[in-house]
Amino acid sequence: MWRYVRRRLVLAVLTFWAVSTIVWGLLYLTGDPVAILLAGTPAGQTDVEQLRHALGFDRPLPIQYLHFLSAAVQGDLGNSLRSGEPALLLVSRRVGFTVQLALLAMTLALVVSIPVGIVSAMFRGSLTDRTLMLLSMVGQSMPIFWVGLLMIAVFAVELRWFPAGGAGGIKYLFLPAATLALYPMARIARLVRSSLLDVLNRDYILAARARGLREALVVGKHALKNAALPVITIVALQFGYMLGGAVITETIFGWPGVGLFTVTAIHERDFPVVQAAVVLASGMFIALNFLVDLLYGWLDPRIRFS
Amino acid sequence: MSAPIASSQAALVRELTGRRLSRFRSGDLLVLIAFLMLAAIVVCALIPATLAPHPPNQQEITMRLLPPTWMARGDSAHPLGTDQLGRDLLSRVIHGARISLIVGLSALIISGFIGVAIGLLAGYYRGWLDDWIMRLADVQLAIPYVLLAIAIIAVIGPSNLNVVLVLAVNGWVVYARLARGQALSLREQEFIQAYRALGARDWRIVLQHILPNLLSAVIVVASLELAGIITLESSLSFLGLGIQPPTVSWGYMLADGRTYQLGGAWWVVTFPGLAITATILSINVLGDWLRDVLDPRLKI
Repeated sequence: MWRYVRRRLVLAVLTFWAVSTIVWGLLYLTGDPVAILLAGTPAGQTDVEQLRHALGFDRPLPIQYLHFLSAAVQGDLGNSLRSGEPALLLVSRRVGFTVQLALLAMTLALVVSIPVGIVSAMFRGSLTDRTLMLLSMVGQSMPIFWVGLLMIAVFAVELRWFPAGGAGGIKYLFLPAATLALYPMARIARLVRSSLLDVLNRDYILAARARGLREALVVGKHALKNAALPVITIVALQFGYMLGGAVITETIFGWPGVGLFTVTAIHERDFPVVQAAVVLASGMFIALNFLVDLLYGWLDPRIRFS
Repeated sequence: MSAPIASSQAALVRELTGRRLSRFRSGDLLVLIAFLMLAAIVVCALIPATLAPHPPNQQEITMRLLPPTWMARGDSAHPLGTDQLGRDLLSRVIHGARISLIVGLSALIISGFIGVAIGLLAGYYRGWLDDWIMRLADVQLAIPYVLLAIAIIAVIGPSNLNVVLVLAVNGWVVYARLARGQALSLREQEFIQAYRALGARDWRIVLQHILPNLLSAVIVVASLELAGIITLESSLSFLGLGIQPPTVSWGYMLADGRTYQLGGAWWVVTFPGLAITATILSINVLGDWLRDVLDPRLKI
């Protein structure tokens, strides 16, 4: 197990290093990083040269990269061009909001999708199954920003149950979380159904039934456990999707998480903040995937040796 | 003794065939509806100017925020109402189909070509090239794609071409993995070994013998990817980082109309949203169906 953990950890660290390098490289996509940093400001030629020198962009590229790496290792991803504060610090202040949003959304998604998937699988081909699967197909096809706007139209403007946006108590969190939850809900419901159907065809399920176990026990104990692996994978992947989806959800509802902060930074052309946000979100996603790998190795010992 | 058995057999047969027929019919109906819906959207994209009652950007300030024609203040000249600048909503929804499909299909084709080519190279030649390419794919998958896309757009600037590029960059990984897997397993098979023994060149083996074996899987994946690409395009346009006006796009229409929705003009965001959902839904249904027909064992 330790060998497996160590290998996964090395892989995660390497991935994170590569991600940071890519994000660093983004600045050089158009050739001149200073032009990107100064875009939208009325900077004269001397300002450009001064900034280029001050930020070290006049040095050879490998030196610039080493400089970036040594700073990044110490948690320094540059300063915000607007406030002058460290970009990573600014972004990390918003992480709590996004994590709250993602956790509530994932809880909602799981609470609905797992029962739906189980019911659909148990009554395969029935009207219930077909209706639920059609609904989940529709849910999977609705773009998240439209879902958000519909939520606002119905629950905030018409019914006045929840505020249309902003931050405060749990009542501000509910609509954004429900919006963010819809797509994973639909995906997970379909996956629970298909992986449960897959497992229900196996011989050991037949054996369990032959021993006269009640259907609830067959499904609940023997089948669900084995159908869980693909579901865990997709849950982790969906968290990654949520970190992206949060960008749109937070923009619609004015929820002050990393996503809204990033979009604001883009409109203000505050590129170091955008970089810090991408690095931080990717870091969280990589860490989560690492934990899922560990969980996997624990649940299914065969994986450790592959 | 034999009569009840025969009748129960008949009942069984009737039940079996009946069920199969009804299942066949309901699934088929859904696919048919999806096909018709997508066909209608494609027609809109091909000849928007002929179908739309008004030019999409024609403003009539006196006619602003008219509700759909069946409502109290509705105007028969504007079946779905007008937006905050008095532009005809139906015409804009029809015109919006074009950019969604153009952007979606071009990004799909670019990413498909690049992805398949890279995957074939990696899988066929293996070695360090394979290692590097697959590590790169893993790394890209570790970055939440919406964030990566908006970060790239932040650097290269929003434009219609840049959106296609960003979407294409985002999509290659899936095809690369698929093509690599196929190339890896096929290259060891006897018929490929035989060609190699006969002296066939590598590119000939790859193009004539490995690629065709890959095609049905690529088509299935592409059809399901298309839905994701169109969603991402409309998301970027919604954030103002995608398709730029005056090109009409559904995502931008939603972003543009959302403040008026709070004032009660629900139609401004409802119809473009419905258009996106109908497009994605029909592509998803057809993609699922294609998978069942072409490659039922494919797990995606």
